[in-house]
Amino acid sequence: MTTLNTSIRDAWSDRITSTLRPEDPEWVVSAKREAAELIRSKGLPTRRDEDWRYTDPAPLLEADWRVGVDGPTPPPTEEDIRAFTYWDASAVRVVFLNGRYVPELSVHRTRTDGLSVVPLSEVMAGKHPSVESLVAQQLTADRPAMDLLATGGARDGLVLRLEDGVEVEGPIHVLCLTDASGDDAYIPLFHVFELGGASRLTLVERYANLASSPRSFTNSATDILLGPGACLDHYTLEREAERAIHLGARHVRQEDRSEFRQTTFTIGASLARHDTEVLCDGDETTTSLGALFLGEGTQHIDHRILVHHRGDQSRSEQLFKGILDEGSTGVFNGRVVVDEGTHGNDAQQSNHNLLLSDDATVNTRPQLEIYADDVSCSHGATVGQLDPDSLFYLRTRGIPRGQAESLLTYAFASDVVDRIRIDFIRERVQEFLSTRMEFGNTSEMTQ
Amino acid sequence: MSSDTDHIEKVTSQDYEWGFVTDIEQEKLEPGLNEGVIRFISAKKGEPKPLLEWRLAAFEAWKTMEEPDWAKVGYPAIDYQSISYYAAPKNDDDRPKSLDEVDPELLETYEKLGIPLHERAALAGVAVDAVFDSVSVATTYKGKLEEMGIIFCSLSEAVREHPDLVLKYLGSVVPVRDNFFAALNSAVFSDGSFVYIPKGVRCPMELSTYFRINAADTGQFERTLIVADEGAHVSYLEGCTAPKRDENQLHAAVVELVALKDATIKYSTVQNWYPGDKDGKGGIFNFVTKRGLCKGDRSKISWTQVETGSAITWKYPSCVLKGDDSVGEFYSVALTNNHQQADTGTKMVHLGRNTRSTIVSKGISAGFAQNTYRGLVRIGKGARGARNHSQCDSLLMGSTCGAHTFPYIEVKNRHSEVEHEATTSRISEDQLFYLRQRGIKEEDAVNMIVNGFCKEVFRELPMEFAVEAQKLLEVSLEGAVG
Amino acid sequence: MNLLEIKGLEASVGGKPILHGLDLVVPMGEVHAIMGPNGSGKSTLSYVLAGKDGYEVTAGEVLYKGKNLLDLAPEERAAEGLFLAFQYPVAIPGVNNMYFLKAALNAQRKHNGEEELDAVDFMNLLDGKLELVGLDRDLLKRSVNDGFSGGEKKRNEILQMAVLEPTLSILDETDSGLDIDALKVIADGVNSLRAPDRSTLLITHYQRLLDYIVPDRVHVLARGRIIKSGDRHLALELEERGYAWLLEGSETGA
Repeated sequence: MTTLNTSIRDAWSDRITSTLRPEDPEWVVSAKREAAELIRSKGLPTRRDEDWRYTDPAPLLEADWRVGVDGPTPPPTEEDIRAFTYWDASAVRVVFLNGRYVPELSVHRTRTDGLSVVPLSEVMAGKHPSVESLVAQQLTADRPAMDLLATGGARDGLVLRLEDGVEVEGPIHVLCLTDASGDDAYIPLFHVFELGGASRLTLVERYANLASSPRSFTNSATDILLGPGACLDHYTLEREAERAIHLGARHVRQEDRSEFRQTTFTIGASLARHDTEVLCDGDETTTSLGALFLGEGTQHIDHRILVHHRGDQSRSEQLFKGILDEGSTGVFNGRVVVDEGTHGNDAQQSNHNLLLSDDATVNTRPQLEIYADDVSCSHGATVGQLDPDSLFYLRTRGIPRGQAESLLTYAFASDVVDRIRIDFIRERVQEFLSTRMEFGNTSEMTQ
Repeated sequence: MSSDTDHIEKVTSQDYEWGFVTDIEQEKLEPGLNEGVIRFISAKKGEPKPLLEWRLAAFEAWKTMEEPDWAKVGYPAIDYQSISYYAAPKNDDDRPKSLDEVDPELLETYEKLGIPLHERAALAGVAVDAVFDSVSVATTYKGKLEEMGIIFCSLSEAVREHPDLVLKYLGSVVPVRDNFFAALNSAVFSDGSFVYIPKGVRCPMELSTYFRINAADTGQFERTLIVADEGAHVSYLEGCTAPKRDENQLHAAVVELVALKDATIKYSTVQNWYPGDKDGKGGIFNFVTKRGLCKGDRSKISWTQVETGSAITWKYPSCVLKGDDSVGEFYSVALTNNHQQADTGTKMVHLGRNTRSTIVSKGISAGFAQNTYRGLVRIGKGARGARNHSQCDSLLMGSTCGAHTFPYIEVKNRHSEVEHEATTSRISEDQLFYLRQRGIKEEDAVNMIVNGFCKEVFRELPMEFAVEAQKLLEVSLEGAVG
Repeated sequence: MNLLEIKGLEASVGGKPILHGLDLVVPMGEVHAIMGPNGSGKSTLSYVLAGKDGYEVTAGEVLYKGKNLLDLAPEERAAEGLFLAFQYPVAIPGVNNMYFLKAALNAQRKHNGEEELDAVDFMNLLDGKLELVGLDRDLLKRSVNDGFSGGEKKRNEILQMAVLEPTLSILDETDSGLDIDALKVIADGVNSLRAPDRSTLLITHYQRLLDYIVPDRVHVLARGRIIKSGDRHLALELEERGYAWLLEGSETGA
């Protein structure tokens, strides 16, 4: 890894150590110090790294971010976050504001035996010894430098553990908000989800801002461990403020027969980067990744994916769709690796992009790296505009050009939208899309 | 089927059929690279001063550049001071004027290569320029071509006879600083072919060059330049072989193509440099820069390559589609076996309006080999109406090899369409079983399937090349099955 | 009154001239058939009339309801009651068939100053039409033509025609690749729309369809022009003798 100017590297290293507190237990101190040291020794990515080829990390690393920003006083009320809390069906809602747990707004509606949901801040304060070793282990796991900035700097996040065989009814909702006091703030978050054998969970991570539009830098890392036969349906909805920077990294490890389903919607932030690394360690795992990203203005949206097949007889699929308007840029950097000595893996990858403006750009790199012959792998990528034949067909039926274009754009996005199994969210996303595409009621579209 | 079977039986006893060393007196420069070496090469060729200066500038540039490390290949560091940068058959001063005057032993060499130069040339209507080590040996049919205004000769001859033409286009497509190996080649290139097709002329026969590295410890740095003037049309073939040696040898060539308005250049390669032995010892490092410029409107450049040789292949024949409505094509079969490594593909850079490109890449990997497709499709802001379609398929044979697909797609114009598809799989058990059930033995069945897999590319090759390519594939796959 | 008047129409596709001075008049209330060999310009004519991009009119004029048709966008032509049943209906994944039909109908109603139909009224309207073309209601829940069989696609075209009740229907080889049952369904659909204030242009390669939809006039299109017109007997004659005898005649004429 090539190094950025050392003073910037040192500044980040210092930012991490500055989050240490006198009362921190030894395992927290050593993890943070190790992260700080690694940043100093390994350095930070530059555009010369293949993973950052199409997204220059320099501007976001060079800016003078503040760490340890306090939440507003008084803290927001239920009323203030009403726009994000329509989750009547959610079993548990956990709210973070500017990277801090907000107990007043977090709700445990239903208690499920075998489910523990606690904030990282409390774990670090020694209040939940049962998950300490899990967190300590994940804190020191090997990860890219940019993610180390998140895990090393984080003082909060969600730690979730689900015992073997437990099924949680209704989704768990993790709401990460930023408000005006988050201006120029660096907001690291670290979430750890461990699902025991044959357990089932639906989880929604949402990133948004309260009314004002802070210029903030959210850097969240989410570690997901799926035990044998565990099943996680995971959603990430990212709509940060237009001046915000959002980095989100997910590291997933799957054991035998586990199923990981992830659907990501990226709408906000000036720069949004979503990294997903899935290690299919076990046999017969299922991985399904889908994403829809919509760019406008000068937004830059980057998805980097790695699906690494290390076991046998596993299946993975990726469906990433981008709609880029105005001067926005979309990046897809997806990689599938199938290890030597594995058998019967099936990996499919597709990325499709629509360019709606003369100034929009798409850079896409679907990659297959295959070291075993007993595989079936494929990828496809397209970049283009709406299909002229479809457009003509709709117009010959009397549908005006503008409406026909909206209809086709909506249709383009529909297979990602249809992945959402939580009706309420799917409907909201549909509503959002129909407003964005400037056409009427879409409820009939998806019957 | 029977002739194929015979062929396979024939080759079981000889791994690399073309791995003989020709016993001819050689004039070879001592290993090492410095300004003096470059001056020597230039003087030896009687080059004009501007060309010497161009070489020296390239050498200065090269010294500041770093060897690329992004390709998915691994090899021990190359000591550029241990390579000899010039080797020629000794009877250089009285160079053969025609085939009859060519050293009989050299001719025999070509016979052994399976290239009966005169016979083949006459039968196939192919004009051949043979580059033996670094020096162009003979160009046939020169006279006939001259009548049509076509220039087909060695680059050194072209430098002497047509200096303005050469200097106008040399380095215009692959600039000196383009990459590490291109800079090295620009500094030390020894010979190669030069082709110029005048306005409106359709070259009546395939033009062909055979390259061979013969001397030990030498590098080969040939340079080819083809210019098709407005409305001209040419098809050019290149083949290469090298003797078996335990040491790795460096081949760093540069090929530049320029197609003016309405011109078409078709460039076909069958690359069969020595790949090293079964344990990965020896073999050629094939680090080649090939690029074509579709300079004029409606021009077309088509690359077809069959890459079966070399220990390492690093090669991306590319098209810069500058003229409106220009067309770029890349058809490739890359086969790697044993410990071979290939990182090959193309770049299609769309600049003009309504430019179109097609990429068809077939990678076959066996043994312990690693085979990578790496390709760039870039649609520039002005390339309204551009189209690209890419299809990259990989076939894996055996559990210890790898096949990788790394496309880069960059689109800055909404009025364009880019489609990329890729698949990776092994030979279908069902197909294999079906053929074997019909009485075809496994090895032949595999060859049939592999040939079918490559058909789209072979179709693009001139007839006799297609046959040769097909045979090469079979020979190269020897031992990969069962 | 003439619904459609084509005078001296010349058109090119990708710079290649296809239509070379085509003349055709379709009076209101009549059914006309256009027959011709492959490559004679039949599909080009239908695309030019519907207004497809890339089909460039280089000379001549087309009057529809006495007004210049060529000035109108495809959707404006549709709103004016011009309907093209495609030879190859386009599959549009992700666009719900029913939504599409309703959007099309309401676009037309809006154009005509009528109130848009709500879901209930629309379903009521549809039910009768579905029966007419022998399509299952389930088909409405799928994406437009996506994964439809050849017959389903063609019936779906006729369903749209039945819903939109066009003034001029152009059927571009709608009969190709259909079995007799499907052919009858198509014919029933077309015949049910026959009315004094509607016209139909049937483009077909075979006489077969004309057994079920009896045309008022038959025209032969060859080499981009109408080279012969007659009554329904012309179609039977073509079936018997082929096109060659006519083409010889047109050679000298051209």
